[in-house]
This record gives sequence, structure tokens and C-alpha cells, in this order.
Amino acid sequence: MIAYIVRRALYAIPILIGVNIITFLLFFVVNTPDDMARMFLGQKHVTEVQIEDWKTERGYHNPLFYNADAEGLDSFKETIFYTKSLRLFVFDFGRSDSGRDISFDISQRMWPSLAIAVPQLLIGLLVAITFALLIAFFRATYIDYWAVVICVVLMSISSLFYIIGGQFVMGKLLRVVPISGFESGIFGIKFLILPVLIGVVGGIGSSTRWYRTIFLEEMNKDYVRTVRAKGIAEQTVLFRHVLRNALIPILTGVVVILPLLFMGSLITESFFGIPGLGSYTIDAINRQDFAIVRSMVFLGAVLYIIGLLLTDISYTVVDPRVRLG
Amino acid sequence: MSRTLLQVRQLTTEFRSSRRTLTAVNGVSFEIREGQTFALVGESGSGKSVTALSVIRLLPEAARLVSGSIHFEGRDLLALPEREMRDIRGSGISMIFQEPMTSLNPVVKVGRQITEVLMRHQSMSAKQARERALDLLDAVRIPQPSYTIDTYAHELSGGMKQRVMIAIALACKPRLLIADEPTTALDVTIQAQVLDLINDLQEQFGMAILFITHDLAVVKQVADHVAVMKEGVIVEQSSNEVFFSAPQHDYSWDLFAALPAMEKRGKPLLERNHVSHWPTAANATQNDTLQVRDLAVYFPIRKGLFKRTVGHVKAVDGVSLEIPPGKTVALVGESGSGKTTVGKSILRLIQPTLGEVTYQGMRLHEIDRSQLLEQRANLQIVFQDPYSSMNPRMLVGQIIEEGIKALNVIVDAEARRQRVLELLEQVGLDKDAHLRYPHEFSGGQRQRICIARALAVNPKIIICDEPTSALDVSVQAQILDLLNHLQARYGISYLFITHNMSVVAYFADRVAVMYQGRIVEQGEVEQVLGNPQHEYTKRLLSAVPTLVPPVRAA
Amino acid sequence: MLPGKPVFLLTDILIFVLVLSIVSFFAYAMRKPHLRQPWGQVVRSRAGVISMIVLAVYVAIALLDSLHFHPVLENPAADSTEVQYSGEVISVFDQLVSGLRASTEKTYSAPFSAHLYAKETVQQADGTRVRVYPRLAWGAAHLEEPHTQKTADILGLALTGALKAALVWAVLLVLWALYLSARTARAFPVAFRTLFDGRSEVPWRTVSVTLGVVLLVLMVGAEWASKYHVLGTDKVGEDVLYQALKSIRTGVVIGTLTTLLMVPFAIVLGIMAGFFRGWIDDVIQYLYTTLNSVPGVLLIAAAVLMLNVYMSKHAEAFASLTQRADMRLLFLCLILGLTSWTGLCRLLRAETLKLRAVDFVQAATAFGVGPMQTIFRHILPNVMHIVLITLVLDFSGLVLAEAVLSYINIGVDPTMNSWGNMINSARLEMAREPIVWWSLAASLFFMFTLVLFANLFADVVRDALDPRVSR
Repeated sequence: MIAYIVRRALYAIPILIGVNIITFLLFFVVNTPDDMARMFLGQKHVTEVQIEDWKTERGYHNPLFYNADAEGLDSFKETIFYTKSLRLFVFDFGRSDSGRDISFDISQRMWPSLAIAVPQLLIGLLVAITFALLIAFFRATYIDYWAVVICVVLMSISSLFYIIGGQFVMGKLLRVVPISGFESGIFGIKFLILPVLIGVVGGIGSSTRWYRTIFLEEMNKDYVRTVRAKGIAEQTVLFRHVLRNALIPILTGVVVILPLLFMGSLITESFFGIPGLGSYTIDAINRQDFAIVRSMVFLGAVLYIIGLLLTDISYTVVDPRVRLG
Repeated sequence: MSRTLLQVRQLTTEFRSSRRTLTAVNGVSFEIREGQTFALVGESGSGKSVTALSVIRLLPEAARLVSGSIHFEGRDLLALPEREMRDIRGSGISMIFQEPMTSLNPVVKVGRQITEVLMRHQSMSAKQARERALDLLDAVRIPQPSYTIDTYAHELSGGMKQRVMIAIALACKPRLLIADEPTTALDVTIQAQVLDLINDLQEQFGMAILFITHDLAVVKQVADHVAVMKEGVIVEQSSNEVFFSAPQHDYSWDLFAALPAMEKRGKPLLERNHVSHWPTAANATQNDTLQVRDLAVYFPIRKGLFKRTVGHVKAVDGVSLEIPPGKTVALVGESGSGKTTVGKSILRLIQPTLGEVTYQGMRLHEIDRSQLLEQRANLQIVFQDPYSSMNPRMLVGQIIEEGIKALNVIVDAEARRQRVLELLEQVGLDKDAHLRYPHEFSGGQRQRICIARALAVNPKIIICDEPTSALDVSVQAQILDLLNHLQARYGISYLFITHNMSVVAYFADRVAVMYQGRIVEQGEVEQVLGNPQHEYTKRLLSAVPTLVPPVRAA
Repeated sequence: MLPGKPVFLLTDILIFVLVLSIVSFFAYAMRKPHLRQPWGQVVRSRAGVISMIVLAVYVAIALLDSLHFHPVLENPAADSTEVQYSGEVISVFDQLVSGLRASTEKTYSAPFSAHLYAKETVQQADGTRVRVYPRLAWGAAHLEEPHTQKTADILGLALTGALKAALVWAVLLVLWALYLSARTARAFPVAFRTLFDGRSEVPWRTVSVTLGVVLLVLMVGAEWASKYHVLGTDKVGEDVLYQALKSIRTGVVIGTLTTLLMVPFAIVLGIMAGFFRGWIDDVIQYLYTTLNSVPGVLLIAAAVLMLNVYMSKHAEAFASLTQRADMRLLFLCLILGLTSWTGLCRLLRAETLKLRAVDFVQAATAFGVGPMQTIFRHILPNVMHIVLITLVLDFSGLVLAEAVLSYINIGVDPTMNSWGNMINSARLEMAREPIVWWSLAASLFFMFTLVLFANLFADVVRDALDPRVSR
């Protein structure tokens, strides 16, 4: 088990290097540091000196991947790629192009993101599993048929509709909750209700339908027939036997996205004015602040890899058949 | 005379799909008395399992009970509401299924799966139920009940799982046990133990058994009363003694005739394939004998941080054998003994770790690609599963032609087509089969196509990897007759991989017995089967239920 | 054929290539019973035929909107005798609905309204100035007294449309019944009855009814649109119905081209990884794990930002705004494909690994069939159903994704008609009083219809093609 985790951690290194190469290719080959400097300094007639200063200040003065002026190993070390990505590996994100401390921003902004994402995930999971179990219980009846139709309709509606419609009905017509904003502490809950609710409703169609398929697949297995042959009631069959088996794919599917909850949701956060990492990222995209985007890409990649690892580990926890070697 | 326990009258069960209705069980009537073992025999699709599932009312959703009545201890089961039927399931009537591998819940401990039924029907406390479960595990002869009760199903072998299934079924001392092919998925030595166990427990608990099987030898061993099913109808019912000495129905006779046995050696199994004698192959030299020397196939076990190889699974561990021209060498063994791996590594479908295979003076594992292509024509293979061995997207003609084309046996397209037609005729299929797809054929017909495909490149040796074990006995008989016929005509040798001793007795010239990757004994069939030397061979042979088919008076 | 000089946008070419390959695939599949059989199942299901008819309407509009040209200038410069072409690029669809395209107002107007949304100061004949809701230049301009006449006029137009629809419907049904009776050698009345009795294998009754409803909606809509702004106008006075219809092409292009562009990579890499295993497998797995690790939205955002920078630096490389927007659309498809091919690749790799061990592939090896032939003959045909299922399943997700991406300004070009852009601009008007809801509603409804029927279709196709789904 330990050996497995260590091996996976080692395997993460080449992947993260790959991720860095991709982002660097995207950011620096199409858009050179000179262009960035010009854009940031904003004026049409920027002097060469100003550009050089800007670059040096932010560490963009070296060549990209290979420094022909330096000696030996230094020709790889004195490059933007090396200096910038080495720092990322120790989670030192440095300063954004507009001069803010990215690590500090992240540590501040991940809490609002979590405050939305975690309840949204948990409530969504609970509701979807409950519905799916009910549908599975009434399988091959009209209830099943229409429930599936409703699921398809719900998942065909754009998430933008849920947000705009939800804000309009709940916030503007009924005036039960504030439309947007955020406040930490216990009074902040009123700000969370709407985004969480909308997130849950928006995801309910596809996840209910997916879980229903898992339940039905499980109910066709031989062991269910064995349980029925024992004279066990259908509800017990569902809850004690089918649910436990069906939770394996459901939970492991959830585990992989758990770490990514930190990143928040771009759309929800910007619609509801929540100062989380999602809106942070959007702002950075709109301001073209590459240092932040790069840091978020790296962070996302790390979290994804952790998610994969957690998935494997969670298998060994919930499924007695799986052993990591 | 004991009382009637179960009475089934004019039972009819249908499967309905949007397009058609299929009558799986058609007006079946029978009675089971208390303490009696009633065997329902038939080939696949005869409706015997559906009959059993109808009795316990656990039919799949597509199936409907159309008419008839089922009385259990005087109560009409079909009239009972589902709630009362559940009270009967597991306590009055219980059932064990064919596949022990999938019939237990994989994520619930086996102890829990036993106590569940006790707590349901006998209102025991969890503690009492656990005590009782330990007793039951002991009763089904599981070595360490106190350990096994806290394991999961995957930690147990197939035989052990089936014992757990039996423990669950017997937990509430049912009056009727339905056993649906309970030993079919098990190796023959395990089968003997499980049958023994069921027999002992029946005496102990005094229950009746509805025993469903396709294996006449097993029926002979366990049943008091026999019913033969064919296409949803019971064609014959009689006592064990009558059935196995003088069966009434022609279909029963056909079943007996199709059984391979030592006594039938040299004669075709089915009348219509009658040839007066099998000619022996001529003019072959020693060079044409395939020699396998010390063949070994190891699979590495990797562990630790850098996945270093820390050991090997020795699937095949030093196997030597010979396949002389025109002869059939049987390779027998139970599942996991490595017999299929031997077959595939001879063909280089699996690269052997050690040892050599020599044919016509060439070492097959060392020759280069062009020489290997030449040898590929000499050595061919027929697989076990007739469903996965043909590409579903290709026409039968293309499938047979593939080898001819790849090995450049016949270059001219028209000549190739003629050859395909000729091959289809040889394996007893219509010529127009070449323009159809594999899914349009039955299992037996598919296996014929596979034989035609192998024959297409004029091989000297065909490796037959359990070619009949997925087939019914009557179809098996056709395939064995066909293989015999082809051997007589073309002098082909077979390496016949099987676990079925009666097929070996009927079909093979030599036999090699494999056990845990090694050959423990080999020799002429009469000698090995008649006078086994090795402990394992003896055990294997004594486990096989024997059956001397009745002789029909002229 | 075209009333002008044709222009071939890259996405136009690709979408017609796609249509051509789908048509030829079906022509091929119809001759193979094992390929025909599952599609027969699609045609026999009611949800299948309904969604096929609705999707066909959408696709037809998208295709008409994909034939572009420079129109002939109406008033050429006097000194020229040659035909002159406008610099503007329009499509055949634009030509068909030229009435809608030209009918712009000053600013917002509600659906079926005769007046503008905002009050204006108008000088009356007697010289006094009043603040009124002025009449629209085009919408309901034929009515003298909109208050009293409008309802009757709308109903009258609907009736005309319904009559036209009924006529076309009847003609179509009679023609189809004639064809059926000729093919099945049954008398015409018998064939005609099968279109309605609901007992035929192909659900003809469902086809007839759906066709009727679709014709009704189209015809009535066309009648109304000829006199009114059925869905109102937007801020600059453009007809919202026209915008929503134009957005169809964008949605369809993104939904189909994205998958089409990534499928070759996924097939080649997935099958190679599964078939050859060893280091090839390692490299390919590394590649897709790495790509998958980058959060999709961020990758898209980064790529689109880079494209923006590139395009503003190389503005001269694009002949027209349309071409520039088209390049951006294609690029978006590419980058969306890049983020989505990994899923298919992984599925194909797993399936290939499974197939490799299956007996018929082993049998081919025993005949000395080479790896390339094995892949083409045995592996590829047996994984194609996965590719097709992915193609239809991904479609609706991509259409929805377009709207979200456009909302955060990393979607299609802002000048391009798309539901995302419509929502994006309409969102800002939600705060107005009275609320301007029609743009939003129109785009959401058009998108919903497409996605809903695409989802239904995908379900039917998956059930038919996936061997694991029990029937």
C-alpha cells in the first residue's frame, strides 16, 4: 500500500512536468514575454527599457527553455521554464503579474469555494441516490418511464437557465434570498442557499439517471436472485445488498472530483459574486494574468492526480475484492 | 408411501419481448414426494431452469407464468400474495444456483449472508444466528468455520462458495431444496464432494430435492425419480431404475447414445454418421511427430516500489509430450492446471519461458517469421467458446478464407471460393452458409465452422481446446464424430484438451494428466484409465460419476 | 446556383465532409445485415423517429446556413459593367429569410408587438412634442389600428399557416403511401392506413403525427414572421427569431465537428495503446493522463486567450470578419476536442485490450495475420459502435458547453450568432423594468429543443448499438 502510494507520487512528477510544458507552450510560444509586457504596461509607445524592466522584475528576462549564454547545466537552469516551474513544485506560486501574492490569495479564496462546493456535492449526492433508488424500486413501471423522461428533460436544460431562472424566481420575485454576494460566518448561510440549491437542481437529472442505470445493472446480477430466494423483502434487497454494491462505482466516481472542489466552479461563483477560486480564475482570465492562470492549472493538475490516487485507495476501502499492489 | 410435497400441474411459462413470444415451459406436470430426489434432465434451452424458477416464483422480468398450478404442502403457490410467498422462500423452499462465483454478494461477509436468512425466518437474534451459522458451515464441511464466517466470497474457492450457498439454502431446514445445476461449474473432484455433501445433508435434514442437471451420470447417482425435458415439455418420467435400464422415449435413447464411453471406441456415436470402421493414417514418419520438451510458462509476480519481479506463477512447469501423426493425444486436467496454456504456447500464441517444441526438425520458438508462417499452416487451433472465436462482423466465408489468404495457400480468388464451399460441405454445413454471419448459427454449427477454418490451411495437427465443453451432449457427439471422420480421412493429429474423462475414454489414443502445471502421468488411454498409477489420477477417476448406458433391444 | 460568388469557410467544408461521410456510412451499413440491424431498431422506436425528424430540421437549417457566398451588389458603381460582389458574406439560409434579416428596428420590442419597447419624443403634426411608444418600422406595420386588429390578424395568419401545413402534409403522406404500396405490393388504401393504424413495425403513425406537428410549427411560424417580430427584437433592433435560427449552425458545428476532429486521434492512439501495449501503451497513457490533468476550462481559456492575442497580432491574415469568426469557431472545436478525446481514447484502449485476448483475434494470429490487418479487420470494426455512441452522446454536452464558454468570454467570436452570445447579452437586460425576457427565452428554448432531442436520440442509439445493454 505504502509502496503503491509512493510509486504513484513518483509517477505524478513526469505528469506535472508535462502539464507545465503544455502551459508554457501555450503561454510563451504564441504570446512572448515582450507582448505580455506591452499589454500590461498598456501604452502604445513603450520603450524597450520599460519592457526589459518589467520582464526582469517578474523573472521573464531569461530565454524560454534553453539559455545559450549560460554554461553547462546552467543553460537549462537559467530559463523561464526552469525557474518558474521549479517553484511550482514546492507550491511557491510567487506573485501575480499584477503583483499580488498568489499563495495568499489561494489560501483566502478556497474557503468560499468549499462553502459552496461541499454542500452542493453532498446534498446532490443524497438527493440523486434517493431518487435513483426510488426509481429502481419502481422499475419497469410508468413511474420509472416518466422519471427517466423527466431526467432527460432536466439534463437538456442549460445550466445558465437554472442560474438565471433561479436568481429571477427566488431572488427577484419571491425575494427569499439575496441574489448574490458572500459573507463569512453563520450569517453567510443565506448567501449560500441559492447557489447550492441551483447547483443541486442543475445536476439532478443526469446523476439520477446515471445512478439508476447502476442500480438496475446491479439488480440483474445473480447474487440478487440468491437474496430473493432467501425470502428477503424487496426493500431490504435494495438497501442492504444492491445499494452497497452500487455505491462502489458511485463513491469512487465522486472521490476523483473531491480534491477539485477546492477549485470552485467558474460559472456559479461569478454569477453569485462569491469570492472563491473560481471567480479568481475567471478574473485572471479576463485580465490575462498568466501567472495566476498558470498557478491554477498547476494546482488543478496536482489536485486531479491526488483525486486519482484517492480513487484507488477508496476502492480498497469500499470493495473488499480490491488490493493495491 | 410418503406424502406429496410439491405438485405442479400444466405449468406454462412464456418469455415475451416486443417482437415475439417464446414458450419456455409448455404444460409441465410432475409431483415430488417428501424426502425424494427428483431430477429434471435436459439440454440447454429445454426449460428446466425456468420450471424451477417458476416454482419459487423468481422468474426474470420478461417471463410470465401463463397457466397451470403449483401446490406446495397443499397451498397454491400461484395464488399467494408476494408477501406470503416470501415467507416460503428460504424456509419452505430454498434454492442453490449454478454459478457459485456470482451468486454470493461480493461486498457482504459470508457469515452475514447466512445469518440474514436465519434472522428473517426464525426470528433469531444476531448472536444466536451467528452460532447457528457456525454450525451450518461446519455441517457443509468447511474446514475453519470461525475463520470463514468473516471472509468475503472472493476469498473462497468455487467449491467453498457452493458450500456456503448450500449452508444458506439449508439454514432454515427447508422441505424442498431446488438445486439448479449445482455442480456444473465445478471441477469433477469438487463435484463429487459437493454431491456427497448434498446426499448426506438430505438424509440428515430429510428434505426433498428438485435436482436440475444436464449430466445423466450425475442423475444416475443422485436421483430417485427422473423427468426428461425437451423443448419445454417433459417427454418421459420414470424411476431411476426403470430409466437407466429401459427408457421409454426415443429422445432418452438419443441422449444415452450420444454419451461418449470407453465401450464405444472406434464406432461413431450417432447412427447417421455411420462408417463401418475408421481407417488408420498411413505413411507418416517420426519427423512428423510434434515433440514438446520441458515446456514452461512463467508469469512474473511484481511487487514493491519499482514493481520488481519477486516470484513467478508457474502456469506450466516442465511439460514434455509427443503428438504422433494421425493420433489423438488428450491433455486432461482441472481448471487452472495449465492445460490451455500448453496448447497456446505450442502455437506461440503465448511465449514459453523455457523448453522447446520441435516439429519437422524445426524448433518452433526459434525460427524466423517466414518459417513460422510455414509452420502456422501445419498447426491449427479450435477454441472452447464457439461464440467468441469468430469475428461477428465477418461473413462465414471470409472467416474460413482468412487463413488461406494470410498463408497464401491458394492465390486464385475463385479457387479459394471453391475451397471454402468444399470445406463447408466437409464439416456438414450448407454451401450457402458462406454468405451468412456467425450469429445466425447455433453453437454446434459454429464449432463446425471453426473446424472448417482450421482445416482450410491443411494442418497436420489441430489443437482442440475443450471444443465440446460448451456444447450439449448430442451436439458434442456430432462434433466428436466429425473430428474422428476428419482424422480418418486426412490423418490429422489432435491435441485434445479437456476435463471430461468420458470424452477421453472414447476419443483419445494417448492421455496426459496435468496437475498444477505438470504432467503427472501419461500413456495409452486404456492403460492410464484402467490402471492409474499416480495418486491424482486415481482421485480424478474415482470422482467421475460412471454410467453404463442401457442397451436397446433390437 | 448561388446568387453570388461562393465562399468556402473551413467549417463549411468540414461539415459537408461530415455529412458526406455519414451518408456513405449509412449506404455501406445498409448492405451489411449486422450493421443494419441495430439501426433498424433505432427506426422502430418511437423516440428514435421523433428525435430524428426534429434533428433533421435543425441539421437542414445548419446545412443551408453553411453555404456561403458574396452576394451580387444591388447598386453597382456606375462606371462598371461587370457584376460586382459585396464584401459581405451571407449564406443561402440568409437569402431564404432575407425578410427577417433586413427587418431591423431601432431597439427592443416585445414579441408580436407593434410598438417599440422604449418611449421616444415624437413631434406631432401640430408641432407639439409627446413621449410615446412609437410604431415599429416593420413589425405589424401593415395594421392601421394594432390594438383592435392585432389578435384577429395573428389568428388569421395562423389559420393560413395551418392550412398550408395541412396541404403540404397531405401531399407528403399521399406520396409516401404511394411509395409504400409500390414497394410492399399492397393496395394504396391499405398502405395509407398503415401510416395511421399504429401497428406497423416502423411506427408510421408517430412519423406522420410528428411530421404534421413540425410542418405546422414551421408554416405558422413563417406566416407570422412575415408580418411580425415573433420573438421580438434585441437591443440594436435585430429580429430575435433570426438570431436564434442563425445560432443553430453554431451549435450543430460545435456539437459535431469537435467530436469529428478528435475521433481520429482517439481511435489511432487508443487502439495502438491497447494492441501493442508495452512502451507504446506507456507513452499514450502518459499523454492522456497529462492532458486530462489540466482542468478543461482552464486549458480552453488559456488556448482561446492565446488565439485572441495571435489574431489581434495577425489581423491582416483574415479576409473578412466572417472568416475570422469562423477560424475562431474551428479553433474552439479543436481545443474542445483536445480536452475530450482522452475519454474515448481510454474506452477504446480498454476495449482493444479485451478484444486482443478474444479467441478470434488469437485465431488470426495462429494464421499469421499481421498486426495491421488484425487491427483493421478484427479490432476496428468491433470498436466502431463505441465511437458512434460517443459521437451522439457528446453532441448535447458540447452544445450546452458552447453557451457556458461564451458566457465567460472564451467561447465563439462575439460577432457570431450563438445561443451563448444571445444569453450573454440578454442577461444584462434582466434588470430592466418591464423585463426583457424574449432574447433569453428564445435562445434557451431553441437550445433546449436541440439538446433534448439529441439526448433522446443518443439514448435510442446507445440502446441499439451497445451490446451490454440487455434487450
